[in-house]
Amino acid sequence: MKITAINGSAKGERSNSREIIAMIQSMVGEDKPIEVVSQIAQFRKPDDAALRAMAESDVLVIASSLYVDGLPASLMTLLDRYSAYLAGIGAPGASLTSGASSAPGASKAPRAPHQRVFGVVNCGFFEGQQNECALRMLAHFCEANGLEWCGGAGIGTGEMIGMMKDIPPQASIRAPVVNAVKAIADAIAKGEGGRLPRDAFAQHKIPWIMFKLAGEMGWRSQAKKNGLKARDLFRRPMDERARRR
Amino acid sequence: MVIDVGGVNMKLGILYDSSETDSCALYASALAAAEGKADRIETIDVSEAASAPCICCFQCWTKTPGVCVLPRDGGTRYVEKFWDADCLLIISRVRWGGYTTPIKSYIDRLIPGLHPYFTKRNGEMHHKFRYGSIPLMLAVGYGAASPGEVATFRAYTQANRDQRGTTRDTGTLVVERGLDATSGAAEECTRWLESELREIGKEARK
Repeated sequence: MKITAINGSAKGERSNSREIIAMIQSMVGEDKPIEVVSQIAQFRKPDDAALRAMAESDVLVIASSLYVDGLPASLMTLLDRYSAYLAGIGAPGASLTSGASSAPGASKAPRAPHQRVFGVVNCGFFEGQQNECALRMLAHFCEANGLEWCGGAGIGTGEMIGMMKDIPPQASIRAPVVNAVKAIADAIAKGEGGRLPRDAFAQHKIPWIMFKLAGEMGWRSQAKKNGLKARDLFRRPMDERARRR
Repeated sequence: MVIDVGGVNMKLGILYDSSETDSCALYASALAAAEGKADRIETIDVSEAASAPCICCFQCWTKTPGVCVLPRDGGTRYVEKFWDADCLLIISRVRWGGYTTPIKSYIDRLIPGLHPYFTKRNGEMHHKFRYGSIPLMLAVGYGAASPGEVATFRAYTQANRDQRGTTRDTGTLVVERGLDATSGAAEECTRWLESELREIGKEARK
């Protein structure tokens, strides 16, 4: 079984989406290596070899963060290119529409039949449910391209994913998120026909107010590292522009 | 566009894509709705200038608060034009139940107008606003591939409004039957936007 995962985060290797892919890798076992395609690397330097690797896979996992209730625009750029690539190889003789970056001979690449697609979208808000629309968008992306949407997980408290990686998986704070990701890993490992009965939504088991306060402390800490004071976070530069006018 | 709706001055921004015929037709319909009430038009055509996608670096929150660090482009002007708009009308083809990639590249750039701190609106966690509020996002979608995409587009654009804490379930129009001269869709868009602006004006006066 060939598995490819798209790291849908613009933050690349140091992202929570990348950590989700690492979790899935450890759950499905090292004997099923997951090839990772970074959407941001693809955005900066498009390469059709990545599209070919995706098309040849039996399973595609799309792990992303949530941007303004939807998919990040740079991830959409990769999915647009993948759609054009699939359209090209789906219709024999059709020219690829992805332009100059198309590799010669790419249209001969085999397309894995019934490619199974899973999604994991995480957000920095508390509620995992806030990722629901983004998961639906991935499902529609599959419908539009003849791929098999096999379900996804929406994870809230996404900023904690990386912080929790050394905590035992079944520690109560971590278990809801680990279990949601595990459901996907199990469905992948099951092979043909493996899918989630429905999308799963979860967040770390932490009180809402504690997550809010910890998050805000994190922002102040970031600002301090950048030489700012906490009150600088409240700057209103457009007000100042309007006054100067 | 500053619209006087019954004594309330409202500023309206419009985001559309001139490379698509339907988007142009709906843009014209939107202008017709605002006609006679508009003093100034603030429009961005996403085909005229591109917006680089947000890279989620959060420096517009923690390094240069309120200012995006990406090189100046369409997305920069988007924030400058629309940060104080009351309403933002987004006209987009429905792509997988959301906006097209060029439109979404703009939408993601609104982040500097938000504050990193959290608050609760409609029972969910959202960001505080840097400037009192953010524009109310009205949406017109066309060209959806399936009824499922229409449903997702409605839910998604409603989620955009939920961020602002404004439950306005009439704030999305989906044109499902094409935009030829006989469909009446262009006129429907004009009537819908007139009604939305009137109702939003009434609420603002309260």
